[in-house]
Formats: sequence, C-alpha cells, structure tokens
Amino acid sequence: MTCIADPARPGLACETETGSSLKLGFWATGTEVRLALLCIRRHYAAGLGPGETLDIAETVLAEVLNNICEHAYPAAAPGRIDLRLLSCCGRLGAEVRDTGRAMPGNRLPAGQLPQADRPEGGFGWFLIHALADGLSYRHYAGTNILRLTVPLRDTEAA
Amino acid sequence: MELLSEIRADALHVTVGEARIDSAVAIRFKERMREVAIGGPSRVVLDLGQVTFLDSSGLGAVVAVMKLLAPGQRLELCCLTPTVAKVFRLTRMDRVFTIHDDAGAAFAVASDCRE
Repeated sequence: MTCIADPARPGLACETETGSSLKLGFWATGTEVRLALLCIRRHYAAGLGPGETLDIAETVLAEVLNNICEHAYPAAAPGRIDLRLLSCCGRLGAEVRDTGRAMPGNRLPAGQLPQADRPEGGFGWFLIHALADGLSYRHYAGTNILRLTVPLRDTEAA
Repeated sequence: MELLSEIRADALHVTVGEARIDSAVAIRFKERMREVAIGGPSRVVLDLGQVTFLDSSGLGAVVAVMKLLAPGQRLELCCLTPTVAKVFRLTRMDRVFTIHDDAGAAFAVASDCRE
C-alpha cells in the first residue's frame, strides 16, 4: 500500500517499508501533523485485528507531534519531524525525531493534570503518560529522540 | 470550520460539521463559536456527534469557549463519540461540563414542553 501525500503540500514525505512499518517525514505544522496522522490511519487501518483500534495511537501521536510544533521549533520557522512506526503483537511502537529545542532539563515532562480551575491547555503530557508505555527520551547530537509504544486494543472499560 | 446552529426551544444547538477539532483548527473553532453564540440564548448545546477526533488543543478550545460566553450563558455538550468521550474522561473535563448522551436528552425539557 502506498500513502500519497497531498501534492499541494509537498512537505509530507511518506515512505512505506512493509505493512507493519511506516516512515514519515513532515514539517512541524498543525496541517502537516493532521496529514501525517491521517496517513498513519490509512496505512494501519486495514491490518487491525478484531477489537483493535488506532484511536489511542492517534491521540498519543497527536500530542507528541503538537508539542514539537509548539515548543521545539519557533512558530515562524517550523522544522522537520521524522517519525518511524512499527506495529507488532497488538502494539504500535513509535520513534519521533526532531532537531528543535531540547525538552526542559533534558528529560520528559511530568504528566500531571493541569491544576487550573478550567484549564485551556496542559493536557498533552498527561494524555501521553496516561495512554502510552515505554516512554524514553534523549537529546543526542542536536536531535530529540522520543520513543514510546501504545496498545492497539482499548482495555479501559468504557 | 463548519458549524451549524439553530435555535431550539430555549437553547442554541450548535453542531460541529467536521470530524476533527485539532490544533490545525482549534483557533478557528473558538472564533466561530464566539460568532454564533454571541447575543444568543443563555443555554448553548455543542453537538460533537460528528467529531471523531479531539486533541488537547481542541479540548482547550472547548474550555475556552465555555469561558468566552457571556456571564449569563452556559455551554453544555452532547453526543460525544467514544474517542472524544475518553479524552474528556481522562482529563476529568467531564466534571466541568454538563454532558448529554444525545440531542434527545439535551433537549428533553424542550420536547416535554411541546407535547
């Protein structure tokens, strides 16, 4: 299966390796993040087993990618994001790389719920920690490397 | 950002006509909501039945809409799809909003009045 990026937005490069793996490169903007997420959904939807869903993966990846757009690169000069995905054994593993600013203190932000009464933001890392496993982060040679896995099955009672 | 709004009994029923409220459209969503709700009825019911994906930017925008309404206005939600409901539940924002299962429940008082 090939995943054709919108030709009007040539920033999104989508390279399919096999059915279980996917490599994407795109600019750190809201529009390209949306295209990348739709591309991931298209790539993996057909291979899902019974009861499996991409909803958790999409939520987690959206938050990770939005954080890069908002915090790693200046809004006026978005840089590239490289994303590698591998699905195996009911899980989706992701490695996300960018060359923007490092995380504060070179470590993963804590995932606490925002303390404000009616918060308009600050939910992102909470959702990532709540839904993803195996989170690791390092800043190496000017590159941020974030790895995580997400389940393809929603085990939480509705 | 497509929003369909109609006055329904004592309330403004606003339906989001798109599948995603994400960081690409969160600001536009907020602005459009301000336009349709301003000067409207005191009760605003936001129908998210067509929204299958809401990220934290979208969630923040929904909270922002609640805060930008006039002092006498209040925002309620209805028809959350499972993924959207999960984001509200995980972040405990389901405690901040009145959430109706469906439009029938949201406008139950109004239909009783008509009968």
